[in-house]
Amino acid sequence: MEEETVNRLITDEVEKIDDSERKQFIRSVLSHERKHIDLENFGYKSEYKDMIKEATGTED
Amino acid sequence: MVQILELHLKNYRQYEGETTIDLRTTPEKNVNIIEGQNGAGKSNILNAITLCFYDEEIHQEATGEELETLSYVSESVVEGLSTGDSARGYVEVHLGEDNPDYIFKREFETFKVPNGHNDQTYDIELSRRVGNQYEIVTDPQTTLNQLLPAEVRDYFIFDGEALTEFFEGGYKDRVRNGIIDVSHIGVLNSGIDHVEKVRDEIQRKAKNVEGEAAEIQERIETLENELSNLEGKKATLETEKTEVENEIARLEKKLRGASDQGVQDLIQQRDDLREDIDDFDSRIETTKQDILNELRQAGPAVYAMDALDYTVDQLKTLESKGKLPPKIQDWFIDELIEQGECICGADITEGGETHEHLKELKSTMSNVSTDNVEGKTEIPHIIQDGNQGAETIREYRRRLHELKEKLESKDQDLSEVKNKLKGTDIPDDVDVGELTSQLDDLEEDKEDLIQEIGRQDAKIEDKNKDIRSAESQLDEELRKEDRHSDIVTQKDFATRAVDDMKNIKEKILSQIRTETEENLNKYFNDLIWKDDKYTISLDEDYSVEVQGPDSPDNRIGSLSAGEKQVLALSFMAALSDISGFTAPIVIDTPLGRISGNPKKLIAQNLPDYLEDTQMTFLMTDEEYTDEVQGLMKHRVANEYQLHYADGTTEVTSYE
Repeated sequence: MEEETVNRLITDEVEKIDDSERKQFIRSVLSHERKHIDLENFGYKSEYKDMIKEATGTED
Repeated sequence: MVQILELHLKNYRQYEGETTIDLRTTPEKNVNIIEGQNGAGKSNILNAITLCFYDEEIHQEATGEELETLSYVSESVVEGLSTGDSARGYVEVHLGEDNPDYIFKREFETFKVPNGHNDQTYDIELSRRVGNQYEIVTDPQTTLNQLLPAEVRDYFIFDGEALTEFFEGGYKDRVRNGIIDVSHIGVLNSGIDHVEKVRDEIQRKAKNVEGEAAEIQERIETLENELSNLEGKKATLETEKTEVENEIARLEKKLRGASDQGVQDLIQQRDDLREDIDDFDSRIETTKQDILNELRQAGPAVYAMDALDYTVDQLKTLESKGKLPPKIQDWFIDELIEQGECICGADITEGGETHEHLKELKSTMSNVSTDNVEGKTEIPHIIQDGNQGAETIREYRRRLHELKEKLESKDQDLSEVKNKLKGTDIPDDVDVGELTSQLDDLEEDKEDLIQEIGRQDAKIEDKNKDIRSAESQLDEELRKEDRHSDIVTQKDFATRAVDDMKNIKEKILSQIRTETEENLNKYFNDLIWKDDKYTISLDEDYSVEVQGPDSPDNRIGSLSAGEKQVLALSFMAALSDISGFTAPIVIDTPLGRISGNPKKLIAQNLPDYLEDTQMTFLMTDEEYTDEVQGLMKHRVANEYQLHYADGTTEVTSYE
């Protein structure tokens, strides 16, 4: 039983994205959103910004 | 298959002492039956699960029964207490695939007070299996909500009889929410929203810009504020619309409570007319769309008909004067020269007069003459297509006119029926006249709100376009400065990721809707058992139409209670096919309002539709007949009976 599992109908489509960096980024975003499905407000901004920097190899 | 492996109750309601119910199932035998007469404590099994998980008893919510007069702790235990003393009990739910991965527990306490009792529940506790050990989870509610969030629980743990109300007024929102939440489209929506917010923040980091870029950025901020205001306005309007819809549903329920048969007949007529009007509205929209499509195809030819006729005349004149050559392809001349001999026997060898003539002819075949030749044959086809298109449009217009006339007539009939209802005054019955007037006003308010929401949507779309255009301009400006190149790269990446997610959402939504519609059709027709088939459609706005047998009208409003329950059960089963959650299903009185063949068919088919899902049915002896038992036997893992006597229920294996 995994609490971060996203519907396979969606993840199958994510796997079809050609760009591997964007694919990985979207996987991580959906997993983070799924994990916090019950919360109105939760931290995501710094996580997503870091993921974007890593994916693009850029700095602040 | 995630399942409820065991349910442990201690002094909960009529389950005095400690009760353990083993609910382990297998993929082949995925059904549990708990049978008990009304009042034996069947619904309190459902309540025990929702009390443990969500700190509320769902059956009480659904029926409005006065359960609060009874204590959480078994009455026989509370009776033995002295005033001021208290007793505790708990509900424990073991969840997992083979062994319990999660043990959820909620304790409750009842205090005896001079005039009765007070109940208190405690926070949910959770032990999670890690290897062979169990560890206490510090935030159990979060884990539970990840497994089965409160917003989707109604699609997994529910009262079957309450399903008859699922397709009553306001059902579109329930259908929409079910599809969006259960399929995880909500997760995708929230991801899109959050990445967009992050992208906007990244963009705002380019703050030390000057000149043109600074101006554009300021403009974007102004536009975003305006957009935010518009979205706020839309949200307010949608809340108002929901309130109006709720009020409509409340008054409708009251109106339907009228005991006078004449009033009931008028309500039925009104409902039928509304369905007809919806049907005509939808057919008018389709016909308008057909006209637009035909216009797109035939429009250019129709509008240019005079010019085309003139061109054909000119071409004919040229041809009659011998100024327009017949259609000769240049490859034909090449082939003739290569062969060196014409079919008439004339010599075409190189150096000869005929050879030279042909070469000259080929070199003088200009594009213009080719076009003229093509035009001579193609233009009449275009004219023909244009004429056919014009005729089709005329036919569509005739149909549109007829539909509008029929709609007008139905509108008039509806007004008359409403006036009759408004003029109804039956003593000792509900105030039909007043309720109908209020409903009329509310329907008008709702229509105004829908239109206003539509206007806001258009403004929001325009504002978004302005923002996107300004953002592209800003990107251009920022690219001119190296120091901002990282920001532009990050922003581009986020924008593309958002586009990807939006594309996935669009594709998945359409796929999910189609799949739900197909399964809804299959399940409903299988379960309802009629010789002629029903056709069920699920539209883009989440409205559901039920047509047939023998009637093209939408019957959603006139289905019987049993049919409505079957439709809702079919929808629940269809939802499980698109579900992102692998949660067990618990249904209280699944066959409550259903009789005859559908009852047998549900017993037989439902476990097959949900073959990868554990199902626990809480049934009365009237539901779990010998026939139903026989039909379900091959699917049933555990069968229990509830024996109620002297205020206490005992759970035993089925005899």
